[in-house]
Amino acid sequence: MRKKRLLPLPVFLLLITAVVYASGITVKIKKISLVVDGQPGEPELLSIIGLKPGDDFSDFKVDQALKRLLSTGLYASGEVYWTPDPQAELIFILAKNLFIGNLDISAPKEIKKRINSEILTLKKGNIFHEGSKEKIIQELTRILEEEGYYARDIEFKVEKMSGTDLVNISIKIPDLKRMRLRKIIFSGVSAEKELQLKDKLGLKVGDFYLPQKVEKGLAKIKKSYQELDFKWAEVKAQIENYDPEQGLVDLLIKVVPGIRIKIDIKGADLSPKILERVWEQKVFEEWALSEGEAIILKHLRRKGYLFASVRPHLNRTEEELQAVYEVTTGPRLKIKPIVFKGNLTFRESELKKNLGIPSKFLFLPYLDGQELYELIEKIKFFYETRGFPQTKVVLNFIRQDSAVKPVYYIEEGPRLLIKSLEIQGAELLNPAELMNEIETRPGQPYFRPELQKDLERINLFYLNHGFRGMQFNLETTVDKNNNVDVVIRIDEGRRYRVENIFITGNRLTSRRLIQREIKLKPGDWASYQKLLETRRGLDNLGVFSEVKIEEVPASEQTLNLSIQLKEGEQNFAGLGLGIETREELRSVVLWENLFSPRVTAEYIRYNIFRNASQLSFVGQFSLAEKRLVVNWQQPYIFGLKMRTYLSGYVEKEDRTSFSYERRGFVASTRRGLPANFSLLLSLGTLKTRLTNLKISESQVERERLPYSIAFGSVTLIKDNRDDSFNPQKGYFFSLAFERAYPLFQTESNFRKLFGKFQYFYPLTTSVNFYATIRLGTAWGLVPIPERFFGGGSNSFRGTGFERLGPEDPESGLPLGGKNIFLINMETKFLLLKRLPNLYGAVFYDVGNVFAEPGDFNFLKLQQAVGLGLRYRTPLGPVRFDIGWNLNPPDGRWRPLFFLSIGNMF
Amino acid sequence: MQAKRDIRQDLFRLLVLFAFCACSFGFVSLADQVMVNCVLATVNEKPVTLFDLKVIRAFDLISEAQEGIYDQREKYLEVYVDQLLVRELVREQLKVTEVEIAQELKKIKERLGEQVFHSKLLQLGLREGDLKIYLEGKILFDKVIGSRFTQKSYVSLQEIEEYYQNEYVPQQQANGQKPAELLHVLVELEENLQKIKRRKEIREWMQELRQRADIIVNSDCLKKIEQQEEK
Repeated sequence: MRKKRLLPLPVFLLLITAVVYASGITVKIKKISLVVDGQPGEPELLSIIGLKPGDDFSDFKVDQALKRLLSTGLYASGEVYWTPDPQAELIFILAKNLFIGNLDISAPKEIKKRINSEILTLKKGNIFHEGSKEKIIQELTRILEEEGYYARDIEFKVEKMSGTDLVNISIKIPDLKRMRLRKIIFSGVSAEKELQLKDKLGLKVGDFYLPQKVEKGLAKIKKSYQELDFKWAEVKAQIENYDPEQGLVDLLIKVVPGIRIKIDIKGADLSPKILERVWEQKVFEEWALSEGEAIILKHLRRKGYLFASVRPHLNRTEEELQAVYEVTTGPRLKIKPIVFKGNLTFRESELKKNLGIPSKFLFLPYLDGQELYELIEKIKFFYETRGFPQTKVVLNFIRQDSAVKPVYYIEEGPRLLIKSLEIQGAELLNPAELMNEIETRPGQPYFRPELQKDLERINLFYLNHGFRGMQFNLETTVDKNNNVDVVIRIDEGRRYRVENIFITGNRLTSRRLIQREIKLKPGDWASYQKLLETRRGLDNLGVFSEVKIEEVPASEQTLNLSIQLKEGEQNFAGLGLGIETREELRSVVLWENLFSPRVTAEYIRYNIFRNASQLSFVGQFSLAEKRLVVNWQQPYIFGLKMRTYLSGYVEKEDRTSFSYERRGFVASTRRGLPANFSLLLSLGTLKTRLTNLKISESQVERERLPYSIAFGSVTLIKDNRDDSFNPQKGYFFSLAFERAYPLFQTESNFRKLFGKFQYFYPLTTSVNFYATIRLGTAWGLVPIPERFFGGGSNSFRGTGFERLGPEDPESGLPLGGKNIFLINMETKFLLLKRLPNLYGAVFYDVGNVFAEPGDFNFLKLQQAVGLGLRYRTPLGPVRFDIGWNLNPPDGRWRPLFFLSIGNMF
Repeated sequence: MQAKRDIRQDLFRLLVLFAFCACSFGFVSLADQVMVNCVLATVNEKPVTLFDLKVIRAFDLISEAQEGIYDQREKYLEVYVDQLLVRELVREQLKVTEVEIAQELKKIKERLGEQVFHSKLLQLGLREGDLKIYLEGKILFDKVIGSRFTQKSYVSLQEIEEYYQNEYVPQQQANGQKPAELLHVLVELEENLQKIKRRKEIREWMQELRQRADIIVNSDCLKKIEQQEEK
């Protein structure tokens, strides 16, 4: 009986076990392991995955963990294995990314060029996936076909470099041949036309299929149709019946002439060519008509036909479409200074200044007719920005014989002013701090785009404090008195700290150097500003072609930073050719002046010793000077972030009064300081030997030849210009102090102080004013090559090069001096609106060079005035100046001509 | 005494039996290290995992899914990759609102039923909110396809006739049915052709997007899953 009572018990226990096993009651993870390329992974990776022993196992959480690992950019693939109870172990098996180390492509130049620009995954330093091989081969085959090549096979070899995460890729195309044309077929043209077109195509049967030549031929064919007014002609080519065995292909050219389009402008002496660009594309005809009308009106108004009108219409036949523009030009009128009426809030001068309206002055460009009409919208926009959303502007003309006075009638409308400004929803940050970030204040005019800018400022403030996912809304209510209440509602999102920082892609560059540039560390708030500084610092090292920083959420309050780097090329070589002159121009005929050739060659090796150091060799050669410089540069010195330069050089230069040979060594370093200042420190030693002395020996310290100097110098610089090549606004300041001391058996013993201040100010939109003051003084034994010299296109335009100041009584050549004072002033103005890069200039230079500091005398300053032309280029202006010395030594006023490239200012 | 001995014997046997059961389950567990996830593909450096496909399949998140699409993992992986490409393309320009996501969720719940819906969530370890990213992709894809490719493409009478002769009639005959007259099935055939044309246009557009994208499929991962499933 007892046995029977016990029997149900095991069954019951079995059932319980089965139920427990099958019920899916959440299982706890007991252990998590990471395996990377067959080896145990680094322990800090476990902090990325967001799972820990004791957590519940969930497919979703495992998936998130895997994706977090992959988003570090370190891994190419991953698998996750689960060993159920009793182990309850989760294993992440990861394979590291492989990077392309060396890339060797054996192919013609044009193929390599296209591979470089089109197959972006195939670049040194890029991540390489085995799975991308097939796609790369497909792309390569396409490029070969498009370039007119064919190949039976493409050899694509990938070799992993042992002990590294690099692969060498070699692509060979052993049997590469050009395709030939078997047939050229034209469709859509008559037989006789076909002959003409074949001629224009420039290819015949049997020729190599060269896609570029085909493109040129198609363009010629299209142009010939367009010249016959078939403006919408379509000419396309495609290859057919490609025979890879024989390397033959048929070329099919499809021609669709379309309708003939004639443009007719009546009533004005205007060429239809001005409207060609409107009609050369297949466009909606009504649009082309109104676009053409607008172009003609603009053209006429610019020339002074202010009351011109145009009536466009289309005439259509089966074969032709005629676009007719009937023009009534009206009289051509001169434009008098404009007048504003109804401007109650702003004075006329204020309006003109803010709208960039120049004052009418002599021959200088003033507004043209088209600009008068465009000014209407500009005035409305100006008022809108000042809180007037409903301003109306009407342009009327008061006729005065052959001139008109433009009058703008302004109806300002109501003005919206901000009554109150409130920030709501800011809980983690102080609203008062946020208020300091924005520029809008109660009492100011209401202009929504300005408030949008304030939202961007607040957004940046939050980002810099580690917040992400914020949202901002602007709510405005206007009362009957046109006062606006503004509320900025903030949803603060989440605030994140940095948990871990991962760096990938640095093969050569040392990790330590990279870490120095990272402005964040684990535990810091994820400041966006510091992320930007990190990126800037890494970019400025000059060794990376790409710097990518990604944020990977690790938990609800932390994120990981993944810094992915791509190292650039290590070698650079350059060659420059040019001409130079130091003499003032003798003739306006360029080739009658004294120019000599100049060659510059350089080679730079980057990232030496893996610490972003670089070594460069620069050679400059011309008839007047020869120079060879070896330069070593590194971003840090003794752990301080100060870019340091060590230069050794050998040079030879012919100056006006002497020539010299010099050898020197200089160590310098530059450091950025607050408020846009920078400090340059230099130490060096030079040995100079004078040769070809053209002045009397008494004027040089003969017994000191050759000169040798050991010096140290400090330069303080502040550069506040808007553009270093073509500055329009701002200023530049530098102050340099140099001390040459008799060290290491050198003879020099002098001090030099030199200051320079430059100021740039735009008087109007087309007139700029520049001024420079230079003051330099020296004490002690100053050898002639170290003295101050002045004169020429870059210092004083009343004398030749280096001719300002004391002269040798015997030879009359310049001696230089220990004191220099120069002021240069120039006003530059636009000459013609049609040539926006050509400017005229008037200048005034005053100054002198004095033998000794005590010789300085305001009454002995020389003066020069002159005119010039400037042509603006991206590298600075080309300058042509004519100067007259107002105090000529011989009493004769004669002009001096100067031609130079680059700014004087 | 004998009774006590019997009880002790029974208890001992019970213990052995229980231990045996527990060990058997444990033994099975030790032997079965299971691959629960892997990276099936990367699309413009974004991973597509096995789990993503499980979610797509569980909730039928493939837009305009054709019959049998879920039979082969490669098939719906390809379509899902297309969806991802479109999502990346329009992410900056088009937004998905919370209302749209809620509506899509509602549709899924109605289709599956509340119980099935929640049990699938539980099985995958998801909360409702976790589906958001998958729904966003589907909604964006539907929006783009809906606006770019009109439902009604033009189909000519000639095309309908050709379709009738080359597809409809042979199909009906193969099924042992008498083909209806063209006039009686004109509308139906026109609709079919429009769908076919539309799908073709979508495919061509997707091929263009694919050419520009960086897509890598991890065939190792696919093979391992298939081997595991065969076991």
